Amino acid sequence: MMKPTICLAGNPNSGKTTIFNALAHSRETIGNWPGTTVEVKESSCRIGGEDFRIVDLPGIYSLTAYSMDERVASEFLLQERPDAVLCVVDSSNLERNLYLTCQLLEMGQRVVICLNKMDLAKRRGFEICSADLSKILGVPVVEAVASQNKGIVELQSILFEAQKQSSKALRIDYGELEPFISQLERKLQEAQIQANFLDRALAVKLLEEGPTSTEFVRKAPRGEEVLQDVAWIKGSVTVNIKAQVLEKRYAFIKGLVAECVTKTLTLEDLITFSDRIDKVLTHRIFGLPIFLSAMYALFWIVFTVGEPFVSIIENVFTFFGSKVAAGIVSFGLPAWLASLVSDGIFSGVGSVVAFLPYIMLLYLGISFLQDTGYLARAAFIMDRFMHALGLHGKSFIPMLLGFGCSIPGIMAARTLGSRKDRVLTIMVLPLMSCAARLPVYTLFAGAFFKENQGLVVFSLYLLGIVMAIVMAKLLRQVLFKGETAPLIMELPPYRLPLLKDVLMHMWVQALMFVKKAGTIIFIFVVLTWFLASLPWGVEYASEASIIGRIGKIVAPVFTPAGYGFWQAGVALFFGVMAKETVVGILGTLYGAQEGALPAVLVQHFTPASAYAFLVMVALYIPCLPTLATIRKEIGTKWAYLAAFYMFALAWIMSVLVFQAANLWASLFPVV
Amino acid sequence: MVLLHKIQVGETVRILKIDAGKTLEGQLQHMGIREGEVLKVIQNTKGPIIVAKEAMRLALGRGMSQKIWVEVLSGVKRDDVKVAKPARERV
Repeated sequence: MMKPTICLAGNPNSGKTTIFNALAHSRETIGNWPGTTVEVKESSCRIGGEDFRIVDLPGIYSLTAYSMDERVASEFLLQERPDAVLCVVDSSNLERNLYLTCQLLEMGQRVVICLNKMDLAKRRGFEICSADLSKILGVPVVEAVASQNKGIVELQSILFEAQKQSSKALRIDYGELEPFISQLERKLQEAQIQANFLDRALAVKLLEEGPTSTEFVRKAPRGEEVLQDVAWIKGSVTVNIKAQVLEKRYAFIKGLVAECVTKTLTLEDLITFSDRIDKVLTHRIFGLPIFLSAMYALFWIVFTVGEPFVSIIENVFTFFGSKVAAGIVSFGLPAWLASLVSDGIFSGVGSVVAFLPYIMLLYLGISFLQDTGYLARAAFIMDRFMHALGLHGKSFIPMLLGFGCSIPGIMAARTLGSRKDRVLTIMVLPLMSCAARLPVYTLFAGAFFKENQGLVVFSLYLLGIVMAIVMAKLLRQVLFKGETAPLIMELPPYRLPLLKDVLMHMWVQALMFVKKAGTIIFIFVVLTWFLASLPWGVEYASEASIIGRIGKIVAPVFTPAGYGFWQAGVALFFGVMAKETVVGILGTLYGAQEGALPAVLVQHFTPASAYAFLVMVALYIPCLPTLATIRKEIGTKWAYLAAFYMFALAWIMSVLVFQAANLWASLFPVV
Repeated sequence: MVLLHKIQVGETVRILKIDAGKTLEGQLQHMGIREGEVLKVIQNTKGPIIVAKEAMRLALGRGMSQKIWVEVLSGVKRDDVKVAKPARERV
């Protein structure tokens, strides 16, 4: 039997994630729903001796799809019928939060309302009578303070009861629209179109022009007939339907709040501690320097604290790789198998897992900043700057995530409302140097620029940012003409983050990277090994191997950039699979262990061609997993365009750097 | 009738009209920012602004605040917000 499903819905910043983490027993996973692009966090939990599937919908304000997140939530509710919907409500912000609650109730979902942040509501002068709320809406209401674990036990028992009971739908009177709603309801029944919720709610959604519902109906066999009716109704009523629906819903909520809530403070009294912090942190002049210092501190901590862990992991992999290889040989198994295991799997996967500490620390820092509420302010502070580039203030957060790994960054772009802004952000996001590119930078910087290692690495990060700025400007002018959608973003009050939430948040984002390391990279590492060993009998990774031949075909392209030899060609070719493999492959091809590699590189590269090579690595084609994510999120043609333009950009910049360096050297020869 | 971005920090206003096109208006409305609602301006930079609607704090980009018409309810001007520069002590 299928486990019953409890689904969590709520506004952003309602504390939904905290409740999810409190209810969920096992770690969360990213669930995929067949047939769509819907991806929702899910986990399982045990209540009253029974197992439940628990699904966390993205934080949304309404079920009308304005952003990708809202689309995901509406699609989920169209496709699935959860056994109970836990609607998490921020009690200190009741009116706005109840809008979503009403939409859910109108659908006929089995709703349990969780009035979260009751402590904050009291401090803000709201006296909420949850019993009245429960009576009027006809659903259970539980008071909670999730950050202090209050109300969770009660919530569990009520959820357990609720999922067995029949649902009661809320019926809001839409006045003069009523006859049309009934007409549409009948039409839906006649055409046998049935969503996973009440026909009435679907009818209202159609009149509201909800994109997901409209699409759903269009796909149905007799959907066009229904949509014709919708068009006819729109033509025949004089009122603005959307405004009317909204008005009636808000009127209902206002009434509800008037019944259940007593306000003891006015707006003037509510200038809070948080606002006073904002006076400084979002200040017109001080805001930016404070923000830049915070970012500098973040990256400094990540790289300083991360480094020892990275070398520990590298050593462990090398040690076990050689031990296992020795073991294989001593068992009398063939030497090629030992080579596959130690050269291929251990060193390949090891080189990827090695910089997991950087990614974890970066995401730990970002999650911390996010949960304190500062990251939302960062978007606010950056908005003016981003706007000037043709990007959106909110684009900033996905791009920051991109410094860890592009994939979570691309996923995070879902919060952007306008598709244009979202596509543009995703298109320039891979130019942010991800952690996978760092090992290549440090290897070459250590070998060629011993005195200025830090500066060289920093310059490459900066180059990525500058190129992103240039490309954003360019793409905005060529492909995405028109204004950026203006920033509309809620700023949560500042608070101390919960350790559990921060860790969970970090884990979810790091997981995307771990998955990539565990599957795709593994496959390509093994593939590389085979290509370097075939045809049988050739020296491993020599010119005669398949890999060598590929390299020779690719290499001439890079001659103008100063590294037109086959090893560099091969490294770049496989770098497309995953950037971090560049180091491992160069090591394999030059037959050098980690430590000896710099000495070998010096024989092949000059400082000028080395830097040109790094420019290439910094900017060229995003790795395949990233391209696959781009394709999934915004479409195939964008993935191709990203690959193409980034390669062209990287090649041009790399050649420019090499030629300029040579010109400089010939004009001012070092004596 | 004034546009929201002209309002000084600390002033309370009522929304008269939002002139922003279907999508943006819808987005604002679902967040509870509608005609007739009362807002307080918390921060006004040369770029975006922050407004308070009851307990909610909302960041609005410049382009957005230039599309919201409001009337001023209270004339409380908070000039004391300007932070006096502390004299730097040199050792």
